[in-house]
Amino acid sequence: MGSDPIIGLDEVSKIYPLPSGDVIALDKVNLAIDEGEFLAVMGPSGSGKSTLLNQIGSLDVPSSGNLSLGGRNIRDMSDRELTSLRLTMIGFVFQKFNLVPLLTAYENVEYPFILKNRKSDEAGGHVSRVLQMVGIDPVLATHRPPELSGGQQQRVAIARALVNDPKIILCDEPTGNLDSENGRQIMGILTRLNGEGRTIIMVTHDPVVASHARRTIVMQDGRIS
Amino acid sequence: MIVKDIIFQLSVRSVRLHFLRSVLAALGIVIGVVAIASMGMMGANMTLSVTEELSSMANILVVRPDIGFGGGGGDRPVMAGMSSSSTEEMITEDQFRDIEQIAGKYGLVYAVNSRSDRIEMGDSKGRSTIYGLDPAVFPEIFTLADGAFPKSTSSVMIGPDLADRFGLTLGSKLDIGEENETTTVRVVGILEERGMSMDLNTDSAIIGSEKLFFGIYGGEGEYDQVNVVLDDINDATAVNTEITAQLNKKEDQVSVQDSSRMLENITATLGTMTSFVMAIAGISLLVAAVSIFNVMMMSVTERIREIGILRSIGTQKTEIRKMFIYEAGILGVIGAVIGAVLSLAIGYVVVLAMVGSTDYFFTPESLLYVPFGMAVGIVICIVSGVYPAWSASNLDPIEALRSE
Ligand SMILES: Nc1ncnc2c1ncn2[C@@H]1O[C@H](COP(=O)(O)OP(=O)(O)OP(=O)(O)O)[C@@H](O)[C@H]1O
Ligand SMILES: [Mg+2]
Repeated sequence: MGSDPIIGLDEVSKIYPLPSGDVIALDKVNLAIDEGEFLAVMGPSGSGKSTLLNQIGSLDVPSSGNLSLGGRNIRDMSDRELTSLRLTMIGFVFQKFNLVPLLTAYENVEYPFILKNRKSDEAGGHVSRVLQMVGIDPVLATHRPPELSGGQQQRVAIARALVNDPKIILCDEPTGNLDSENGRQIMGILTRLNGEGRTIIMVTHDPVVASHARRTIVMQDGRIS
Repeated sequence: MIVKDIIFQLSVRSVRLHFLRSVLAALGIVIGVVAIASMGMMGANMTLSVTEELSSMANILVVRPDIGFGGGGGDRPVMAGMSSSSTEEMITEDQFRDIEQIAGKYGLVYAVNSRSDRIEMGDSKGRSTIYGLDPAVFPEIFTLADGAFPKSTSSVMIGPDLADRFGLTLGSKLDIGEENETTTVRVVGILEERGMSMDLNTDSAIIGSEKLFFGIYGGEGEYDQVNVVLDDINDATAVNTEITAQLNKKEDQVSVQDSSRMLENITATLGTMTSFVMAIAGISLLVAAVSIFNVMMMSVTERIREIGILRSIGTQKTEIRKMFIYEAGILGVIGAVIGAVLSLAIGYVVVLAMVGSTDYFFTPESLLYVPFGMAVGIVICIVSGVYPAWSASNLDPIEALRSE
């Protein structure tokens, strides 16, 4: 654990300027996350959990402070570089699944693979293997997202997050829209992925879900308390 | 599937998802393409058929005496009657020799006399133009529908309209001239239709030898006009200049009418007209552009969340842009293809109605306007999609993800 953290936040602030006054979503947050960690982020609604996750996911840049991913400061990166960073190094899993409705389950998973490898995966079978791993069989994979249950959609979303073999997986309330049984299975998958060495950061309201993580931080008014 | 294909797939599926809306938007393009293509085809067909009609006579220079008002044009024979006695207003034998000397090496040179006169056959009376020409040139400038070229001074050939009007056939006899001093001639040949032209209007005329003409009207050694039939239409200006320079050295004695110039002017005018009409047709494409723009903005708005998802999982801005440009392009291609098919049908009807002949409809010059119209339609669509695509690609991914 002596090596540099894979994710480092140094006095990171995020301020949303609104007519009614600035909203400080993140207030000088300092945080270091080592490779292979499983971190749960808890805290009341509006405390800045999603904002923190989006910053780490390089969907946005900090208003001030420095954020480094794999040793690189994201301030120095262009939109093009940040986008390919998201493609190759980070996997997102959202509360609302966020699958592309125009694509089948299989195509949803294949999509980032094609973007990264500039070729289809018809021969390799990699996409099918990843789907199999999260418990989606080939027949189910031909369905479009609206034809799948919430649990199935979230499995597909995890498969999509995994397909390019990212170092970091970011989950924003991955079990928030699932019943407890499906929630448990999703947590099983995430725990297994962490066991394989992936860094997982997971936002959740549920202490039971958070108990799967090895470390928990609690946010309050944009700060880690 | 490669990247281009999967992005393209998304565009195709988006169009398919809103098929009716897409087709309705493309309808504007259809109309625009049809308008441009059929107007263009109309212009092309008009130009081609006018060129065809005129080019048989466009290689002709007509030299007439200069009578002081710009060289005159139109129907000379009507005036011929009053000018026969005045040397000033006739081409002299010397002038004819000069013209022959200059223009002879460029083509055929022959002199023409003509007169409008009373004619009579049996009970019917009427008027007609009588032409007198050197019989040697008959085979070179006339085409017979029936019979033979006249060889004696008592035989003539006639135009098809005259034959129809008076029921004349080969062997018919007719009298030329005022009641008491008629000359009787026999019809030995009937000409093919030749149409209106600058040099000779033979469709309802009587054509005989010079000898016959001079026998009736006198005036030997003087001509109403000299025609030059050029071998190569490109010599027209050179010959024209040379004749004018030689014969009008001291004073304006002759005027030269150059038919090739007229043809050029007509085709240029038709070209301008066609462009103008096509530009007006193009306005319909402007309306189409607005509806494409509208539909594209709708598509962007509806898919904001999807754009956010695609961006968050690593889709580049350029790829998002491409996705919407493809979508606009697909609408354009749908509109252009339907438009092309329709413009073949509608263009055919328009050409038939406006030009009267579809002889040139299936020529490259005419059909070229179909791909041209298609290209304009597709380009308009893509241009209309540029702003929506640009705004889609610049959406903030987080904002886009938050939208419902
Ligand atoms: N785009 C934005 N514009 C303005 N304010 C924003 C924006 N995004 C977030 N905020 C504000 O930032 C603060 C933190 O929001 P954030 O979404 O991070 O909270 P959260 O902890 O994820 O809450 P929840 O548990 O409800 O998801 C909130 O006060 C929110 O209103
Ligand atoms: Mg949140």
